[in-house]
Amino acid sequence: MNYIIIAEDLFKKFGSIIALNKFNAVFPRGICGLIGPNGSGKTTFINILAGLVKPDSGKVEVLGLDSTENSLLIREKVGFLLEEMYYPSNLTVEKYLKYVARLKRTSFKEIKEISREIGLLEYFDRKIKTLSAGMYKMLGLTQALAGNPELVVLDEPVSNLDPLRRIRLLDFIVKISKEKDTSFLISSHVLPELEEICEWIVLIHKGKRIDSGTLSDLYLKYSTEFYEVMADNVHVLYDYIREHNLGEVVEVTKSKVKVRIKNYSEFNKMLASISDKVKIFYIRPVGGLKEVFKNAVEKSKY
Amino acid sequence: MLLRNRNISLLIFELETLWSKVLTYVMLVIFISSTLSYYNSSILFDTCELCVISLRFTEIWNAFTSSTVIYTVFLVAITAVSWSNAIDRKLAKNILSLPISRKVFFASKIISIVIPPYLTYIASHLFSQIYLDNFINFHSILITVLLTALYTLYVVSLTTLIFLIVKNSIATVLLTISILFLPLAGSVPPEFKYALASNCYSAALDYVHYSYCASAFNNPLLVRKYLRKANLALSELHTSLIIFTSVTLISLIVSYIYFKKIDLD
Repeated sequence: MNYIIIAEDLFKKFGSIIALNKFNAVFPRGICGLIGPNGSGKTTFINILAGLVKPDSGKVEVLGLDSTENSLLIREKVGFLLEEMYYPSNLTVEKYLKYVARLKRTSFKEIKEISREIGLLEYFDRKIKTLSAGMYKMLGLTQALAGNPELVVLDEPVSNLDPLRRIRLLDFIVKISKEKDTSFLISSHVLPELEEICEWIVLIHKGKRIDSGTLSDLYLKYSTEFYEVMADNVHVLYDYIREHNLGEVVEVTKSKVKVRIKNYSEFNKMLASISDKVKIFYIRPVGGLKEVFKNAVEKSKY
Repeated sequence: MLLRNRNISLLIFELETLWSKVLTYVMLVIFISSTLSYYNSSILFDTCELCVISLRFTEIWNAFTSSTVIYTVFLVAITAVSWSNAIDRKLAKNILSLPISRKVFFASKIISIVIPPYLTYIASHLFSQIYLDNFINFHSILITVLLTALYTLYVVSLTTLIFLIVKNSIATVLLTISILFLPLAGSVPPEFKYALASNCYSAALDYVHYSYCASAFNNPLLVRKYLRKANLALSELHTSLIIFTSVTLISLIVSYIYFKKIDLD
């Protein structure tokens, strides 16, 4: 597999607090998620990728480049949205982004296009200090996406955003990823959103990787009895599950069926065979990634 | 074309970010008023050229000695504020997430702090000397431009070093001002006076003044006397210059090494 980020034995300590404790992880091309509670080491890992923090030991390769030796080259190829960013408050959004265009050696036209797509364009005349927290985040996103980077690292991109902007942003990420073949590493607490777009997930807790893999791998590994299936025709799905005795149907709503199942892989396989009759949008444990993360932490010794 | 250069763009960005309109106006008012008030614009009717030079040099020294205090305090405060914006308020983190090296960021930060106050300060002094005093003297202009540049860098680099160690703007201002004005305290050894800007300006102006005197007289005894005085002033100037230059260089190098290694978390 072609990995965009490879972290090997990363260790970082701030005073007496261990932020990363021999963190090992790989991230393939595509949209990847980094999931962990507050203080689990996500931000420290992202700061190391950006060359803002130096690891005490271990190394990390980004796009085949060592993060400590080639930090500048990495920042040429990678766009970063960090958790805490400060922008000069006395500048207008337009003026600031003009500077970003020059510093990233890209055209202002391209930045304007990104701003239009994520809804920042109408705020161009405003001074940065007058922006709301959500728009402040959008400004950072525009900066991260400018210059057509190969990889975009987003630390908590959807926090402070209203639901409509969250959806718009996530759709935009998927669109960029497909159209421009840009990879994304997204660290977030908002798990349902990550679940919808991430192809690869790394679970981090107390500075260590608990597990990683595709969503279905993780569901399979940390599955609970209850799953929810979203489909375009729940009645056909309901009949099929009952007919083939795939599990006990607990609840049926307009678009989802909640089932208690015994064997996830068999259930998954059986549903794949009726793809011509019913369009399945997703199959995931009730509670989704939150449940997976909870079970993964419980199963691990940390 | 120049604006397309990333380093120049960063420097302009830093200048625009730090020097808001209000701050620039405040600086102009402080520097211009504090400088002009120390120059005596009266016309000197003395026919003796040497006496005119002597009086004007004394006046320039007085103006520098007095205005340097305000200049120093302003420089220390603005340096602390600028680094505080960069480190505490995470502006440096934002800029360094872009393809900008720490070396370029550090250099542009120092230059953006130094240039506006320096240009305003020397412009107000040169304006006073040339326009108000009608005193156009190559040596006084040279002393004004070069010594002020060195002193400005000395103050800014020392403040930068102290901020990076202390990481608190108020503590930095208090500590730096205490260090810079320590030589004024009566209880410190007399050697400390070499680290005073007023002493450096005085030595430079004395050297030029006594050299003029030595060349103006024919009497060998007087020539020898003035040359001795000029040499004494020159050695004082050398000592001051060595102190200012070495402190500036050491502070800049240590600050840069420290900044390069610092975790911007």
